[in-house]
Parts: sequence; structure tokens; C-alpha cells
Amino acid sequence: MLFISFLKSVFYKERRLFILLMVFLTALILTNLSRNQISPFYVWSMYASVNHPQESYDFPVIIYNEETLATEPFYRDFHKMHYQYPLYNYLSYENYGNKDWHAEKAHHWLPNNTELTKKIYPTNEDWNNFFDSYQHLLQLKTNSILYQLQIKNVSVIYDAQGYPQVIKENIIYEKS
Amino acid sequence: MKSHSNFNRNQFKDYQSIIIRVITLWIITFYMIRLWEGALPNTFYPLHLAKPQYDLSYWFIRWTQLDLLILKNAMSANLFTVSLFASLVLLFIWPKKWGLGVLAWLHLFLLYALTNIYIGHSQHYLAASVTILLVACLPIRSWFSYAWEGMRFFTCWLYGSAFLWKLWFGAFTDWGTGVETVKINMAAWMYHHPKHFFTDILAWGISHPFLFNAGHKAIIIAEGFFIIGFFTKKYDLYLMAFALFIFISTMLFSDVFFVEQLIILFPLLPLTFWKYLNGQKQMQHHMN
Repeated sequence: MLFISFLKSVFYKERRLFILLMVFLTALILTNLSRNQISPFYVWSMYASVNHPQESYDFPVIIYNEETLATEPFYRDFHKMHYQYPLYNYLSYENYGNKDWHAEKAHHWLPNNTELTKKIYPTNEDWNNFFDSYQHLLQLKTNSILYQLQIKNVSVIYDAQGYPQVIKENIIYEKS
Repeated sequence: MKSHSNFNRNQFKDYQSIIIRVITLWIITFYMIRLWEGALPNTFYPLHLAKPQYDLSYWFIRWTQLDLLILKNAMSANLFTVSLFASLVLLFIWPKKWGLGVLAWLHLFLLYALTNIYIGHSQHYLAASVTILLVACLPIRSWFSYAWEGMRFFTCWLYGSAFLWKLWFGAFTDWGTGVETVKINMAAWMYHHPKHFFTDILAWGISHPFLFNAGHKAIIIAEGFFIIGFFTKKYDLYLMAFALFIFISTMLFSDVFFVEQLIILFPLLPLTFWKYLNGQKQMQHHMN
């Protein structure tokens, strides 16, 4: 087996490298067994779970200065996530009763409300000021001054022909 | 068969410079595009909502407040961005200086961590550059060939473990997950492009789900093939083709664009490729 041959060769010829390799492999295996990534020891488990049919398929739509922001260009690009994922992050906070669920569940490892916890997880002020910072981000990304902003959560279902049909629109944030 | 399944410990030692230069150039190219599109810290520094999840490395960065230092304002974020490119360019010029490798690696790691913490989503495709650049950080020359061979196994692990996770969590055995993934991930895209021909293709696929479900299984099986890489190099070019198939399929039908991750395929390239590239470089050097 090629991998065993590789390990043997490292072991016999470069003992110090072998030790480093073992440290790397051990960390990689442990992070994978615990299913908790500790960068740079990555767990490549994305899209491993079953996706069940949903009642609706939701996504945010951003209307910036009275135009829908092209957050979904035809060619795939790098900045799309920068529009959407900070919003998803904020929405998870709202949907979890205005609580940071990661911080809530970190009690296993971190004591509550210590200075350390406050340093690691965002404060209530950070959550409350989210849209201010998000507006700043949009202005930088669009390179234009904002005078109107509407962010809505759109829910769609698919019709028999496979096309999405809007069934609900909730305004998450509005500024005019 | 024997030549493909035995390990030759020194075969890449003469190609250290060209290999490090090629991977550094790859990283610089895609980070230039990121810079152009405003997807580097100089644009996202206003975000203050951190999502460190349960990653101890992210916790460490938050604890030291290094993130706040880099993303404090436009100037600090710009400085970091300039410093990132400078470290990569220096490594490109002096690929054998392991200190420069460490410097570039630290920048990439910080960029990866800051992006994930503040954008709020784990972008694994950035991780591939972080991992592969470890080969430029080794202080002993004779380690390089081993490290490059090791990266090849890491590539096989990356795709192979993705297959095993899908087996473990059930995505592989659940027939409907393929079309559901398309419906979840492409909803926003179809909403924004109602008249586009590709929306028609997606809609047809959603109303006839066999193709998407079967394609989803084909992608997972293609990931599983990478486990063969632990036994032999004989099929490395096929593995590269499978990786491209996975990339193009997920780009088109799952809206997952991980082009930067393809850097991890370089270790699958045969020695002859590096010999050819090195030969071209030396020929150019003699002509000049």
C-alpha cells in the first residue's frame, strides 16, 4: 500500500518529520472524531446530511437604493457570500429568541458571562448594531452612498413545472 | 502496477522552487480576483458580528483580539491586505526561504479565520490554500519531497473523507437529497433570474428529479474514488478529472463555487509535468 510505504520511508529516513506528521495526523483524526473543527485541522463534512423536502425555501433579498442588489450573478463569484451569510448569521440570532445559540451552547467549555466568554462571542451591542455595520459593508461593496435599504426574507415553493413561486415576503429591515 | 504503488522518496526534491512558485501564483491570482470583487478584509472590515463557532483557533484569535486589531478600521484592514500580497510575492520570488513560507502561511491562515469568523460561514475552500502552503514552511530541504507526497495523500483524504461523512450522515443513501439540495441552494438564483435559460434547465431537472438525484450520487461516488489514491498513483489523472466533475457539477447545480480549493489537485500532477515546466523555465533562462 502506497501510504504505508510512504509512512515507513518517512519513519526510517526523516525521524523528526515523522514526529511532525504524526502530530498532524493525530490532530486531524481527533478533530474529525469529535466533529469539531480546530483550524487548520479541517473536517470536510459539508453537505453530508440528508436534505428533506421543505415547506418553503427561504432566502434574503436586498433592495439597495431602490434596486435589487445582484447578489446572484450568473457567473459564480467570490463576493456573493459576503452579502448573504452575515444576514443568515443575524437571522439565526432572531430565530433563536434574540440569543447567540453558539454562545448559549458553549457552556460545556466556557463558563457563563466571564471576561473570556465576552471576548470570544459578540456582545448584545454587537447584535443590536448589526444593521449599521451591514450598511457600511454594502456601501463599500457597491461603492455608493446609501439612501434607501430594504432587506426582506422571501419564501418560495416549487410548482409542478419546477419554477419557484413566491408565497411570502417578510421585511427584515427597512430604511428610507 | 509496481511503479505506481511504491514510494520514491526524492522524486520532487529538484522541483521545490517551481512547485512553490506555481501554487503561490495560483493563490495570488485568485486573491487578486477577490480584491477586485471586494471580498478581502479591506472591504468587510465594517462587520462586527463575530461567529467563532467552537473552533479553538478562532477562540484564540478572539481571545488575543488580533481580529479587532486587523479589522479595526479601513487603514488597519488595508495594511493587512497589502501585507498579505507582499508576503505572497516575496515567497514567489524566494520560494526556498522557509521563513517567507511561514510568513505567507500566517497571513493566509488569518485571512481564512477572519473571513469565516466575520462572514459567518465556514468557507472550506480557502482552507485548501492554507494546508498546501505548509510545504513552503519546512526548514529542512530534504523534507520537501516527502511533504509534497504527503499533500497528495491529504487531497485523497479531503475527498475521501467527504465521501465517508456522506455515507455516515446518510446523504449518500437518501435518494431525494440530490434534488432537495438543488431546490435549497438554487432558489435564490432562480428567483433573481426568472427568464434565464439556465432557470429553465433547473426547473426541468426539479420537475424530473431522477437526473439530479442520480447526479448527486455520481458526485459522492466520485469523491469515494479518491480512497484509491492511498493505494496507488495509477489513477491520479482520473482523480483530477473526477475533482473537476465535482467542481463543475456543484458550481452549476448547488451554487457552491470552490475554485480556490482546486489548488489541492496540484499534488496529483505527475512528475513529468513538473519536469516539463522546469525544463521550459530553464530553457527560457538560457535564451535570456
